[in-house]
Amino acid sequence: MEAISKFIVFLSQFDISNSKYNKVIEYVDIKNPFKSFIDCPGIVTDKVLTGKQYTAMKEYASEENVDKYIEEMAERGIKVVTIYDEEYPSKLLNLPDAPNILYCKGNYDLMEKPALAVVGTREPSRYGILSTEMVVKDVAACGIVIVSGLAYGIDGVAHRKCLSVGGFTIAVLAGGFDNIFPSQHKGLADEIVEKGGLLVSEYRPKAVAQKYTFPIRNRIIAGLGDGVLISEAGMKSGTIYTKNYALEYGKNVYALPGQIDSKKSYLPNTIIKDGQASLVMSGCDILADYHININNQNNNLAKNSGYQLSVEEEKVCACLENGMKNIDDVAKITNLNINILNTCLTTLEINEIIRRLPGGMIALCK
Amino acid sequence: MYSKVKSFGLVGIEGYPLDVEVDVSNGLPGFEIVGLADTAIKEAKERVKNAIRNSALPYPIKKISINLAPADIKKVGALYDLAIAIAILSCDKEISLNNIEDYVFVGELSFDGNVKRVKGILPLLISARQMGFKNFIIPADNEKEASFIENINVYCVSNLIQTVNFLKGEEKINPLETRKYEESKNAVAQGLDFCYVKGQKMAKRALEIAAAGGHNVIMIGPPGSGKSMLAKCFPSILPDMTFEEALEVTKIHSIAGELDQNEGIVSKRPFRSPHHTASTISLTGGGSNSKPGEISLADNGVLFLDEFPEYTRHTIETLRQPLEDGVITVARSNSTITYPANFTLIASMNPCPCGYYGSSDRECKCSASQIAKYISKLSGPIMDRIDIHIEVENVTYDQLNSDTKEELSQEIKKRVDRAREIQNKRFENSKTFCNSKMNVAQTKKFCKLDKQGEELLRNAFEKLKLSARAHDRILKVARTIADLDGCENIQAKHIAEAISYRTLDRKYFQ
Repeated sequence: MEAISKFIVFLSQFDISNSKYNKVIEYVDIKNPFKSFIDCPGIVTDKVLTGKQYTAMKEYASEENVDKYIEEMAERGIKVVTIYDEEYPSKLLNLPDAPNILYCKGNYDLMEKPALAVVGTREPSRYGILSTEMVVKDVAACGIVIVSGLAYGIDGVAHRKCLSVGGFTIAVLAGGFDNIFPSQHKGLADEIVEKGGLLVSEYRPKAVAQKYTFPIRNRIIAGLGDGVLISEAGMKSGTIYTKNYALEYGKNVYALPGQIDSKKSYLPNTIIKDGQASLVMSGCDILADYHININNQNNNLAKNSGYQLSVEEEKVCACLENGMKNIDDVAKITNLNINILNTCLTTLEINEIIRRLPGGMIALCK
Repeated sequence: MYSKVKSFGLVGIEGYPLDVEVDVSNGLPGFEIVGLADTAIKEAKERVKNAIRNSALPYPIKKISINLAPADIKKVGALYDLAIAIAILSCDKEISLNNIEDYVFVGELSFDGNVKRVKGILPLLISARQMGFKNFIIPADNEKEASFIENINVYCVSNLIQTVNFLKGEEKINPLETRKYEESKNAVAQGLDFCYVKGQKMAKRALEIAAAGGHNVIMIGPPGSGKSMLAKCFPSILPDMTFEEALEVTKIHSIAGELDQNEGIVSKRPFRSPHHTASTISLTGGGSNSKPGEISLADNGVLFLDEFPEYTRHTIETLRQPLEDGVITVARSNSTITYPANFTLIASMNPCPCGYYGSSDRECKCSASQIAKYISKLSGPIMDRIDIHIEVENVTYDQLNSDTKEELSQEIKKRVDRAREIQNKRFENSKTFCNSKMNVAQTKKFCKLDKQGEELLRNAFEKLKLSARAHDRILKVARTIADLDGCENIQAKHIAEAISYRTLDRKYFQ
């Protein structure tokens, strides 16, 4: 690793913003950064760093310390890559505000693969969950990497669905690996790494996610995806940042249309209307841009899973064909006894033909 | 002059014999009670004095000392008035009272000499009978309650004069005739009837299973979806109480002073629904008098906790022991009392703070972390004790107005009774009496799965990501479903149905 790389790793330990990295580097000698940093009071007089910060940093500034730190990271399975390294992901290299450093945990090579970023609200509706899953399932199954932000809602849905079909997924964090946010998704983060996925963050493991780091990390999500799918998102959603970055970087933007009166579909509907995004009705619409063709007419459920439906189960499936229904309605339409119906629902669910949703709703898996 | 009269006291639901000793001597007129008496007993002085005077009986203008023995147990309540009055009167040679030592006296006096109703007559008589006491003089107001105890002579009196005349042999009182429990049983169905609940098939079925196997239930649904209504209907499908059960329930209600005096016995399964602001003590029992709490009053019946997460965490956690053991032990500095608390818990809650998460009618305004926080108020240990989780959705207008005939509670109850019979046979020689209370060994023995069922359960765990604690719960519920079906072995379909009642184990609440 080159000296300047090490210097960036050194800087990353002090939680300074990405733009400040560049400013500090202007003051140091690329060949001999540590030494020149120590003898550079100009950094403080020009107000790039505060006196306090500078003193604290000076004390620690040595190559040996950084080597030790990198070794420590490596022991924990964390790979540290800076923008001066050859391994730095090519997709991010040309971004105007490319992150100077990336902490990575997991399958590093994923960042070079074709990928789709999936973003949306933290509080999706049932429709949002279902349609996102439907698209992610098809896309991930074709080997496209799913990139998202490990947040509640659509992010979690996208990661989980991707893992469940055996796909690979990248989670870009707004904080360090030691402070996964939200903490309820720690298990999910571990699962992603375990199943060949990747966690990425531009912050050191001990860093804690701040309010402002969330919109900033969205640029990495947009950057890593070759396309960006906007699922449900409201008027004030952070997803807007991701969309803007994606447009700025010239990525394909896709949007899942929603009901025109649904607040949660405000953003996707608006950008479709404005012509900023292309409307997505299934995974095929996206896959075409990745030059992958799959057969769209693959809706025969029984064929999919190889499971033989019983007479009652067929009745249940038939009644759900036109959209999800409440369990009481299903009981009424199919005229099945509730105990038989419950039995059917569980077996159908285990065979992944139907799924249950909050509020006692049942929907076909598509 | 010295005289001694028998009375009875209560600690919890157990009675103990008590001597009321009176000494009337010359000296400055006065009235002193010793023997760890509480304020109500200390005040007996005025009641006894005025009752005797107003009954035109001679009250000695002398120094009166009274001892309640044993002296080391704290005595509570006004039930010793009658005994004290009789003891004082028996010191007077001119009123010759016969055989007062043969009787146990219990009753409160009013100023006009009337004998008033006291709390806890039933547990008191039951304990006294066990200890070999035969004859009792009790307030006439307690007549109904006392009439269920056989093999003792109970004389009901309505005032002091009548008591004195009876003891003098001048007036005859017939011993109370015992009543049979069956006569008092209310023929009218208990609670609301399920036929008034439209739709909600899933919830009804779940409650039927809960009634059949004694399973605890939690209902999750938006406001106005009928959770409380369903809970109120629940007692109507529970099996009738046996006499022993009814006696146990009556004892507790008697002590708490909640007994309906026209009935005399609690023949309906109790349905208690304390508000979520209820204090922990009011739920578990305790306080300075160690009174039974709501959970004991719900013994052999239903404890309905509406808006479950709104109860304080502490209150919810105190339910752990009673849910496991069926008793609650209340320890206070002066006594440790164990009350029965064998109830079926029916809890209801909204899926999120605003109440509409997952609802089709309205949009939920809660953030994901708010929902997670709300759900997390139910701790693992408590959820471990709740077998059935169901979602209750709003009923549509069409369903409300539809003419479809809903099943009567009576019909459901028949199926429940049948399932209970099977269980009674199964647990004949053990302490367990229903499927939900099976211990690990019993679960292993009675919940054997065939190959198909085993495979289904394994698949379900993998695919549906059920939590580990669900395993035994599912087996127990499946056992009850099989019982309702009249099947000896649990089949795959029973397992499949049982799995569908584990909503909260699904990850979609996270």
